[in-house]
Amino acid sequence: MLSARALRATFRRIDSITCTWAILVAATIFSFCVGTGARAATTATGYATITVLALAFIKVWLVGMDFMELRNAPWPLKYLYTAWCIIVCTTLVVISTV
Amino acid sequence: MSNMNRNAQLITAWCGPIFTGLFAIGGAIIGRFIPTLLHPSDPASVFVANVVSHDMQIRLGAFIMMLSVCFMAPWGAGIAAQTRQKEGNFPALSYAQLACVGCGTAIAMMMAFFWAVMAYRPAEYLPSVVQFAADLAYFMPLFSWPIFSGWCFLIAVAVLTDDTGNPVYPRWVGYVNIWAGLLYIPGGIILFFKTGPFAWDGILGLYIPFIAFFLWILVMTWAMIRNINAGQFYTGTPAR
Amino acid sequence: MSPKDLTPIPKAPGRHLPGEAGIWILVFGDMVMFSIFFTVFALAQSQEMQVFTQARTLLNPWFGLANTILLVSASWFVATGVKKFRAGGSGNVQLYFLLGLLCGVGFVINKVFEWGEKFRAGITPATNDFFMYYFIFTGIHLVHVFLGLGVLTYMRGVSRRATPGPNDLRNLESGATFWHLVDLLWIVLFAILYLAR
Repeated sequence: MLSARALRATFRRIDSITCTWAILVAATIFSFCVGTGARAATTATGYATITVLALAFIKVWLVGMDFMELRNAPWPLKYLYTAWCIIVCTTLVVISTV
Repeated sequence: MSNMNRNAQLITAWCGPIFTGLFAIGGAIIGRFIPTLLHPSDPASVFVANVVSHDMQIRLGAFIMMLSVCFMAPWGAGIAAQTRQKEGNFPALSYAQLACVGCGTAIAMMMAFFWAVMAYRPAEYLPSVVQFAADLAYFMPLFSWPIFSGWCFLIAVAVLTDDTGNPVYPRWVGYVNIWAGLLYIPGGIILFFKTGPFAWDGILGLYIPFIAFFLWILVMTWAMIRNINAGQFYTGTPAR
Repeated sequence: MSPKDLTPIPKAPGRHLPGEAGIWILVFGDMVMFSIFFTVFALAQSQEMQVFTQARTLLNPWFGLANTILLVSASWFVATGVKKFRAGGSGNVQLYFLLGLLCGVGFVINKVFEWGEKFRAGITPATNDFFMYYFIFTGIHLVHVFLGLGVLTYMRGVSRRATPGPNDLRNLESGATFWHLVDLLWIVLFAILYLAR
């Protein structure tokens, strides 16, 4: 049976996951607006692209840190994951805007 | 008695790197199989011109390729011998692996066959025949991905579903097999493209499956030798 | 072994590896693979910017938005389910995995409608390079979704066991990690296929 302490501890943990979920959904909707708005635009599409890509990889990073529990993982794993996010994001941004 | 089996296993394990090394020489450096000399988007006349101007090179390369792929058979058998030890009286996974090894070796031989025959008398064949031979040479190892992926997944099952706490290989090796098996799958898409990254000269159609395959060979060879060094060779009468 | 033996594992600071090493090799391996996909796509786009920009307008971003929300929500269910299991578990852990599974099924159904709409409009992987990448990459991702659904089904089965086994938490964490991979790959695909220039 769950003790009250375990319940509260669990609730606190679930809370951070829910928080992450909320951020992800909000960021998705925001990206959606920026991205689809940029389709019709003729100027500043470069900024829209960078925004969409940066947001995407921030979302990916959050999925790794909170959902995949990398925040509490051995640091090589954590930093490797973060490095992947940064490198791939930068690569795509550079290719897309140059 | 024990030394015979130990040596036998070591020999089969080392066949993997030998295969890799010979293929690098025959397929890559000399035979121009990979990186590709030919391209599926070229017209047949360009195929003929390229093959004719490199005919001796391709023939020599194909000869060495044929030699190299035949090392796949004992190597694969060596893996099955090790997984069989964990399977007891009904080594289904090991026998299934052997079936994949047999098929895979035959297919790899076909790759070398077509590459060789393509360069046998390219000026006298119809140009489309030369092109056809090249297509076949690439389709053989790539389009046959199910047998190679299946081989990998069988090993993965042997490792990951072993709940004795002491699987034949470390669990991460099982996961590497899943990854490798997945990476061969784009090889099947080459049927639909003659240009671009999914064609038989493309990065996703050819290079990734081949690179994954040879990396997998090196990982498995390491795992086999690790077992042998840990004393896992056959002494005395069969367990069952 | 009673459920009490699995009450919250004391967290050594920064030291818990979710699942096991092998699953992370698989996950990072896949991430590297897909980063090659993404790069190839971006390079092809820079070569044929007009074609890609024009073709992208034929995509319906609402499908993509719905799919992203579905996968992110599925990940919430899966992550929560694992935390609940780790905290001592109760009957409804399997419900969380089931709900995650249903979100995943929703993704597949959505994809069927989306692709169906394309095919009916005469758009196929052979239409142009953009759609070649679109169908193949979302197709390969869809294969991962199916694998993920299988994994979630297995996880649900594990969480329903009356007495947890010694490796259950590890296997659940591994399965969850794979599912989150499916999620994160889609987040990038959504961005580069549907949204970015």
